[in-house]
Amino acid sequence: MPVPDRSEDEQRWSACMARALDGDREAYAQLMAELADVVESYVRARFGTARESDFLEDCVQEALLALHRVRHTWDRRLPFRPWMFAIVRHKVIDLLRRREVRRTEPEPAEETAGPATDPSLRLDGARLLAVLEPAYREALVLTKLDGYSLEEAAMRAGVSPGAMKTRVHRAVQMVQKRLREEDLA
Amino acid sequence: MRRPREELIRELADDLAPKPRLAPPRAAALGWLAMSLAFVALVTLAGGPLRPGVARQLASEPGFCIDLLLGALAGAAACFALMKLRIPGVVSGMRSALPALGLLLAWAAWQLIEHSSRAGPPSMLGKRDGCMLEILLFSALPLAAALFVARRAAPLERAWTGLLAGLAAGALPALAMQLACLDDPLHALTRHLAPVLAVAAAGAPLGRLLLRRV
Repeated sequence: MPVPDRSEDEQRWSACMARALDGDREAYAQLMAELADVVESYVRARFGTARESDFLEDCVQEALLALHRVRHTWDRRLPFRPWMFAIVRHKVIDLLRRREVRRTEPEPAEETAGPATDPSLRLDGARLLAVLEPAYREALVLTKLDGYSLEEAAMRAGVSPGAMKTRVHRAVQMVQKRLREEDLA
Repeated sequence: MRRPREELIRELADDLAPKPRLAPPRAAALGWLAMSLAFVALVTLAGGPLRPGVARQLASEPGFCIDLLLGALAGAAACFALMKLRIPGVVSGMRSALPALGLLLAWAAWQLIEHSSRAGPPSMLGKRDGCMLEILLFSALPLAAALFVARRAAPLERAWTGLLAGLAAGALPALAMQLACLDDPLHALTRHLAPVLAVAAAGAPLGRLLLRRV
């Protein structure tokens, strides 16, 4: 499989953004569509794809909206990638922190009963989650990706809601640290 | 309710109104520094004259020049870091604040060094009773201006941005007070430099409160 050429992406995105800032809507739509896929890959590589999760799409759309709102802060003389990924990473962390549960369908019976299993087993390719300790990974996946309330997640994990809250908080901090390290690497 | 992705992209493209370009960090920093220095000089002089003999001190006392240089560098470093931090992806908050904080620490340390090397009671020449309050007051407008400039951009780390704005805004009147108020390192440490820390500490929550969430 060919390795994507970063410098080629950089040049294309910079050119599209420069044209967009000059008012070229077509270039902007093309750039946004491409960035949506990039953000999706970025989140998927780090958090996997939880079966019932709308986290991925929330991340993509929130990131696109943020990029749109602050598009004037991109300096044409600076590379596009660091600017774009700084905003994407910020939005992902922000979303993890303040995500509210929006469950629209009742849970299947097999999900509501029975012993807690490691939720990350349902994730595919969650590179970033994989490096977290199991307790923190479970806390993050249950509350932020699967959308359970703190109380529900605590019950599933067999801990108190307070302990679950602490685990979620620490897990988000760990994820933030890892994402920062990735950026600096 | 979330929209389909394609619809969102179409709406964003339709909403592509031109926005004014952001000034590069160096230009923004120089602009803010020039305006703030002019304001601080004006209000400091309006509050009273400079300390008698300050020109002679500048010409003959290298220690005094180092003192002023450290203060000026701390303020400038904070200002330049702030203007970079307001643009995503250029620098990270803590890393960008370290030079300015280090210089502030060096400025404070220099007062202690000066204090230990001086003999006899300090001269009361030029003493301003309300110097501490003046520094706090004189830093308010530069702080507001710095936060306004940052608000027009997109600082991702709002608390660090606010802290740097406070540090830059506090350092300028403190520097002016080193020229205007009495010459005593301990007085400078507790009455001139301590307010800089206070303004910086106030800047962090103000940044979180007043700067837009990206």
